[in-house]
Amino acid sequence: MGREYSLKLALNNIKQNRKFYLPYVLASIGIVAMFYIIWFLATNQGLQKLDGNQYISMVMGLGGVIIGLFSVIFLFYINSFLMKQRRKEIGLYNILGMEKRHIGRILFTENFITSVISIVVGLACGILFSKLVFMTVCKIMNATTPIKFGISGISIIATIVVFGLIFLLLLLRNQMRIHLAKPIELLKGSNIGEREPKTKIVLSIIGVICLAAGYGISLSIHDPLKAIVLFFVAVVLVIVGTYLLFTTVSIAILKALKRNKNYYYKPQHFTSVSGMLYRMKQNAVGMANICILSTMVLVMVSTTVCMQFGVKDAVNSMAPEDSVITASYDSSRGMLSATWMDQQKDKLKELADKSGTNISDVTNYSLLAFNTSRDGSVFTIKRGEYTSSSVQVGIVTAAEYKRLTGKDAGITGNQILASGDSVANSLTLEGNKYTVVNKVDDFITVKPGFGLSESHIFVVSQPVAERIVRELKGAYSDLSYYMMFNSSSSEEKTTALASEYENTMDGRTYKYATVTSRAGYESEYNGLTGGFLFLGIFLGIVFTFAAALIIYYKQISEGYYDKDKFEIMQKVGMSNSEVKRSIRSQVLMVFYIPLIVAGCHMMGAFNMVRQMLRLFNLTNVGLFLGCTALTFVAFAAIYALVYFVTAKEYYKIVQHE
Amino acid sequence: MAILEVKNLKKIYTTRFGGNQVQALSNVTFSVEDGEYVAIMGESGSGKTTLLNILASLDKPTSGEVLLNGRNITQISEKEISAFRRDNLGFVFQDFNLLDTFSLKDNIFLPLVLAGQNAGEMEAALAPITAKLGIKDILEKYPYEVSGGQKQRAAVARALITKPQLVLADEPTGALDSNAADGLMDIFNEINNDGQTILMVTHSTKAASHAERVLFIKDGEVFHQIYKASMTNEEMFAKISDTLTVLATGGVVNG
Repeated sequence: MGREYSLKLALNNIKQNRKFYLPYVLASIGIVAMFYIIWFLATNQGLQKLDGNQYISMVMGLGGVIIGLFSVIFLFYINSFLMKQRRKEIGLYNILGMEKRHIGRILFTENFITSVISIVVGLACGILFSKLVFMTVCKIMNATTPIKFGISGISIIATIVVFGLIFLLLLLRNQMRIHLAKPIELLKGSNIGEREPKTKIVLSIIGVICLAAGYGISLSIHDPLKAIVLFFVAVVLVIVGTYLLFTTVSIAILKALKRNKNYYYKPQHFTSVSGMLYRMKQNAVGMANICILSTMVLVMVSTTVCMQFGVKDAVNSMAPEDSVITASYDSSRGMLSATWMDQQKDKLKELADKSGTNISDVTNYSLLAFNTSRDGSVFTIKRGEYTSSSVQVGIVTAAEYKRLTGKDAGITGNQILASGDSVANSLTLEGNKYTVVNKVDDFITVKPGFGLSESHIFVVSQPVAERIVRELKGAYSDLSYYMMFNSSSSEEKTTALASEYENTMDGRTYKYATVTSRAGYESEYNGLTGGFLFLGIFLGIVFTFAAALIIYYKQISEGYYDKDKFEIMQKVGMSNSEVKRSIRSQVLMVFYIPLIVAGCHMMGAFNMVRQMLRLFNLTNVGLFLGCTALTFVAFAAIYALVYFVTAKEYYKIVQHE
Repeated sequence: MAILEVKNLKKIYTTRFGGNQVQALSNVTFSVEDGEYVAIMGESGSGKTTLLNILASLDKPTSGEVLLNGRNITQISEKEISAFRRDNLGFVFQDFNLLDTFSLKDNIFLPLVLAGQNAGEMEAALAPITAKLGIKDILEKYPYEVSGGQKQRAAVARALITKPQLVLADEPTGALDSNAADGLMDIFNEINNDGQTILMVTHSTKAASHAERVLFIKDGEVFHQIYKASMTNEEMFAKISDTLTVLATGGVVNG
């Protein structure tokens, strides 16, 4: 057989099988383009130099690795699907007298052509769209200075090498498959393996346990630091659980339904239970794949969208004023006096006048912060290290309270004011009983603990404050001093003023002092969350397309099977509409179960993701709930769209006479 | 009493764009008595399958009528037709048409489940039929686990379980080896002896020789018929062969 002839046959095959090949090639092109773009971003010099964007390369690099790994799994999966559909055709070639090496050569040519097209067109699309994506990223990052755009040679080489290797592996695998197959088996093609699935009790139990454990971890965690550590454990457990759920648990359930004769032998259950049982076996892995991809998309996109929307909240909680000067004093020398505090304010204003900086809202306050462990209303000073289960307590003297709010605290002896709803009318601190005469709102904007853990402010009388200072001996405590102000002058001037004040700050020598500005926080946060948002949406698109493609192939392969079944049932006395209704409901179920399970996974992950977001000072649960719900609705809409498009293809096959 | 009357049946197929007209049945008239066992023979393209599809109410004739127990089945509405088919007709196909997703038992139950019977009634109906057909021990197996003969017997059980007026068989021995085919024909004789009316379309002279009467169709018309009367299977076989030879060579048949 000549080279030319096999080329002609290969081209013809691609054309004839375009229903299978086209989506495959399009998906390959898409994934090649995505791979190039993400590596282009990861290696772009200009982007790395952007202010506050030290994270972007790291985040993009992470995305690049994820896409690379995903490409391998995804292309192998789709390829095996493609080959399964073509078994019959290949078997026929074999029967008609083509030797396996001839078929091998044709298939080699086909694979070679599609691979080259995928890489070349994919790279072209990648280079073309990288400009657009690049501009989008710059916009998200608030890049003001224009960054030079170019074509990344190293990314092109990386893309060619990675996908060249993947396609080579696919090619070898297909060749091996042909050489191992027997012609009759090929000819029978998709009819192999129609055996009814067996119930696997042990695996079902393991599946349920994995899922329960994954959900359990996620729902029981209240500690952001632990959440990060255990997140991947939970993810792996849920992935394993999902695969087992679809492959064995579902079968066990359906079999139990089948054993119940009064349920099973009803017209509306009879065909759907047995049909589902069959479908589960054929599609369990595909459904699990779709489910996991959907979950990834949902969790990723909702989290990153929430981070982006939550930036303002986070920055506000970390830097409520334009500029904050923080100093830390040794608490053993007693509390700071109100006179000293007022002097400091005057000093700052004086400095501002001198340098011509317009400042307003000058406030300062001091509080004594330390860690406690809390058991109901009993607080005990923690002498060990800070852990995230620690409860932060800030002590403010009554004089300081009056200076800040203008109100008299009205407390004597062991009477105190306390913030926080969870504090009862009386509490014990280090063995001393206190009466909470009044609840106070947060009159102090910066609280200790970075929002990571529970924190309370107690307003106490001067003698009590001194007693607590004594009690704190040996424990880690911090007499914090905060000076904050807003400024309408330029950022440089504001920062210069803050630094100048810090240098001249008097009183007792402080342990350390820091100057932070809201602008600094903002750009750092934008860099981080903007990078994550971009990656979340980018990967979200990749995974959504992947799920759509799997759905498409699944519908087509099911269509060919259902066609025969459809005819037989009609002959045996089922009306046309009954058959249609039955098949429709099964297809709908198969289609929506992954989405529903993904929704459950998303709800299960909610608490864990919420805890992790606290690390970024995102504590707005309402916002997160909204973002999650919105993401789910948007995804469900896309999913439904994919269903209608692919279902059309399916009905075309089934109803074809 | 005639259970099935076919009067002046005509079927013309028009190709999709209205170009060619193909006359599958030109004028078919015959009747089947209650309890009779009739075989219809003819070459490929003679119109056998078209006739069977019309009798099975899967297709509508261009003109003419089909009366089952006096009811014209060509007039039944699309809505009722499936239920009518389920209640009155039993089908046996060449390629069995068993669903791989069901065990043999569930395949047999399929028409009863569709008719809304409960599990107890179905089990009661199943026992005598499967005992007679000798498939009692393989009921829990799946179609792909049993032989062709066993599959066809399950298909016969499915056709009989609704106690139909008429069993329609389309080349029932077509996919079976000779042993299995003989076995199936014995079963047909047996159920016919119990009073079941059977109408069978076949290519096989041997299969047709088991019937009480054989109709020959050629070019869309009933060309000839033979009654078995007191003939043995072998004598019937010889007579059918002769008729087929004459039919193929275009001569005139006497007697």
